[in-house]
Amino acid sequence: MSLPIFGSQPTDNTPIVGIDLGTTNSLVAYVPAAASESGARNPMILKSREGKNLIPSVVSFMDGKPVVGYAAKEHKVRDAVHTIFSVKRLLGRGFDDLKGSLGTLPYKILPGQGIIRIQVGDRVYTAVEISAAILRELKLSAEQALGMPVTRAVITVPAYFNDSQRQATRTAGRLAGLDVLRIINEPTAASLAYGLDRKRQGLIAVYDLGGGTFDISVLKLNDGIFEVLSTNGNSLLGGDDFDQALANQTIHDIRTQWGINAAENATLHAAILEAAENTKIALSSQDHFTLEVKVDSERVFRHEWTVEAFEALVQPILEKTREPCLKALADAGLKPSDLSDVVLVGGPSRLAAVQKIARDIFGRDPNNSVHPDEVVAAGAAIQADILAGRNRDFLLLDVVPLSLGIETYGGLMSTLIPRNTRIPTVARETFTTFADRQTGVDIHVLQGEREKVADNRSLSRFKLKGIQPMPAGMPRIEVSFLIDADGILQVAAKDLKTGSEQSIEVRPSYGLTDAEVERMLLASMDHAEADAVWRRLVGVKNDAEAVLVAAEKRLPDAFRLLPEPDARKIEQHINELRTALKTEHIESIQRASSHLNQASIRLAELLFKDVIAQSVDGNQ
Amino acid sequence: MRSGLVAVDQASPRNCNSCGTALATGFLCTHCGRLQPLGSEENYFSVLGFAPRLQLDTVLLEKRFYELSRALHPDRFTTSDAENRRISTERMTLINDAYRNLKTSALRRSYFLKLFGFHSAANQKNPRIPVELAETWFELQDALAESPTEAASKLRGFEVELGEFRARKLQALLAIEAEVDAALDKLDPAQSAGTRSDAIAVLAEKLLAEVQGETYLDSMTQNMEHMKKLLL
Ligand SMILES: Nc1ncnc2c1ncn2[C@@H]1O[C@H](COP(=O)(O)OP(=O)(O)OP(=O)(O)O)[C@@H](O)[C@H]1O
Ligand SMILES: [Mg+2]
Repeated sequence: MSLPIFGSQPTDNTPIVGIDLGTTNSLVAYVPAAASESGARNPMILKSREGKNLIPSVVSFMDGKPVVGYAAKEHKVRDAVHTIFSVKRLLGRGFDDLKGSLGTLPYKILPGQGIIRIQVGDRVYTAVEISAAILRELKLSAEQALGMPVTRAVITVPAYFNDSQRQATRTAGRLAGLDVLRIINEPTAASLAYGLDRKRQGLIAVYDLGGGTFDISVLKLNDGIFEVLSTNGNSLLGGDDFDQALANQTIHDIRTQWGINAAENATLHAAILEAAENTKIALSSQDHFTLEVKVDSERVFRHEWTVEAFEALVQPILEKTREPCLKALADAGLKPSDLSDVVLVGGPSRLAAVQKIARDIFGRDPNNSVHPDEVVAAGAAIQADILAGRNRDFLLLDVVPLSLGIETYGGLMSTLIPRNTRIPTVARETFTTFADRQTGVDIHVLQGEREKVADNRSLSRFKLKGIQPMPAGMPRIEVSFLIDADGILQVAAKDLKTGSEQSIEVRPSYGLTDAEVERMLLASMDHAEADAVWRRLVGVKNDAEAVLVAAEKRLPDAFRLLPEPDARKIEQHINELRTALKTEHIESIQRASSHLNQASIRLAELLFKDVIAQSVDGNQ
Repeated sequence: MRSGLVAVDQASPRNCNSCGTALATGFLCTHCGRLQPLGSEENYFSVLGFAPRLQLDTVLLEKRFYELSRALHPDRFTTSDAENRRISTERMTLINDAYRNLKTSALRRSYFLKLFGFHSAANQKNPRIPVELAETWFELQDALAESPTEAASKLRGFEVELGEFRARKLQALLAIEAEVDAALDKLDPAQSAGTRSDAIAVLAEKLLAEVQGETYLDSMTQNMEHMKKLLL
């Protein structure tokens, strides 16, 4: 079967650029309209207005005006309270998320409900606005490099970003004057650039440890098709955490040595973080380095770090990448040995410790031949080229990173679209009413991997209205959950009796407190065990209830067929099981259930004989 | 491997929904560039160019999936008009769904049964431990109540037996599947979907019974894995 490809669609000539909006560094790339001599459609990194490839994702406010890039990075220490960095860690999150997981930041975050607000001087900004400032700088850089207006872009996000975080990224793009044609996942983008050389085929894993996020994706590369098989990660794990660990140690040492609380002094704190990052980077190419910070006009703190000591310090952080990798492999139905390559991406992959853990997890030498800083932006540019209709050889088949579902009876999440389902996709579910003449049904859309509603991310609640008043259970409302190639969820409802339809676009409000979300994602791993126990409890209870109901029904037979003490015994076990079922204690429920079962064996035999006898009688 | 291809064009010679030109493929008019809306008769098999069969060449299945994705994915229509974009999303959604459901034999089997109108509820008997496994199973239960070391060794024995039993069952299942497919091959291809001949109905009942046995064995395997965690 050969399938013709229709080539006469109009092509828009304004450029679509690819943007890697990183926690630490951002880049913009583009595939030139004219292919190279060899016909290859190769991306190029566009130079920033500062003449560099990278634009540090740092925004500093000078007299209230935002400055972005290296110029801003220089102010990180000098003007710490007016300089915002790692804002991607705040995107689509709420204030409550900051406690514990994000460490302390030198700039001022305002306490309060909902969306995170950052105070700079007498102005207050959201993470979306700060991200928009970075995107605007990228747009201006691209315009300068290309010599024409740039209004369309593909932007990458961590694969494990949830819907709020993706929507927040889109909004930031819009604020920066960019039409965001597509949000794609960073490791997937990396694979596009890696697979530009068509000789690279087969099953690969992309291990992307960036400044603030960790992603793992498993893909199948087949003659220009990039099929994402599974994806996993941790959106609060990255090189920043290594800096944080070194900084915490330093703060602790300074306190012991001089009794100074460095965390309270924004400038000193920023200086420590900077020294920590420098130490980390130095240790990727030398085996020891002295971390130095000027504490005040008289004192300088010094500590010599060896690679061994550093690796011991960060080992627990690196270990956190193991489980997502194993889960991604399992979801793809693969063993490490099935992979033909493990591709390392992200700045920290220059560290021997990162290469070591990847080798340990996958049992093979990882490939660190791709440019760890540039490959994601390059991949975004390739996807932009595909969307522009100029690259017809490549195609990305993507998946949903997190399961989508709805709340059902008993506070449980019922999954409609499991994680790693290919998009576009649709799932349908029929609802009915619980009360007579009920005209509306509440629908609660959730995202996450846990069993209980409360442990997942709430995306949206809406009410299906206009149901014709009927007796309970009569109406049939079919709700469809559609995810388009863009990953945007749309919900449509149809009254199957009347045919009337309504459609709701699920626009998750990033203004909501995201406290639960991230904790949930992380907890999903830590609590897999707790979930399993809980699921088992539900199973055991269900089984025991079935035993109980059956025994209760047969109790009159027991008194008819068995000697009275035996029947009394069954009755007693019924009561015991009933009591046990009120607890959450798996073992006692099982014990009571098995006692009841044993006590009923004789009865079952007698009843069975009864039935046989009756059927024999009936046959005669 | 039998070729299960229903040539979409042969089965339903159609004309372009927009310009009327005869279609070479079921979904795209090469003359005017219009994507063709999905017909109500499409199912997971037809949309991937297969006749409904229990056993498919999965290598060919993947190849078809890739070819169709390449031609129909919405990313190919970003510069096209709204109607083409809508149809492309609709078709790709069905293709994704179809591929997921046909890729693994278990999902394919249950879709197949549903497509032909056989529902597992039809003969729901209380599943029981198969006689072949009963003795070891009850010995294991006794051991569980008495000695953990004894139980551990019984459990290992039971695991082996269960594994072998399942392998035999799988062979039986595959044989019935082949029979069903062969019976379908004899039917008029245009009628095969949705048509239940009596011979096929009998075979399908047999298949259904095997499938239910499978479900029971699945839960037994799960139970065993759980016991293993506790004991070993
Ligand atoms: N030579 C090096 N050795 C160790 N770490 C390094 C080195 N160079 C850069 N890094 C670290 O890499 C991180 C930045 O990596 P990268 O640019 O890939 O992240 P990002 O894309 O900005 O973040 P993310 O992808 O998480 O949003 C920073 O923590 C930086 O300190
Ligand atoms: Mg990155």
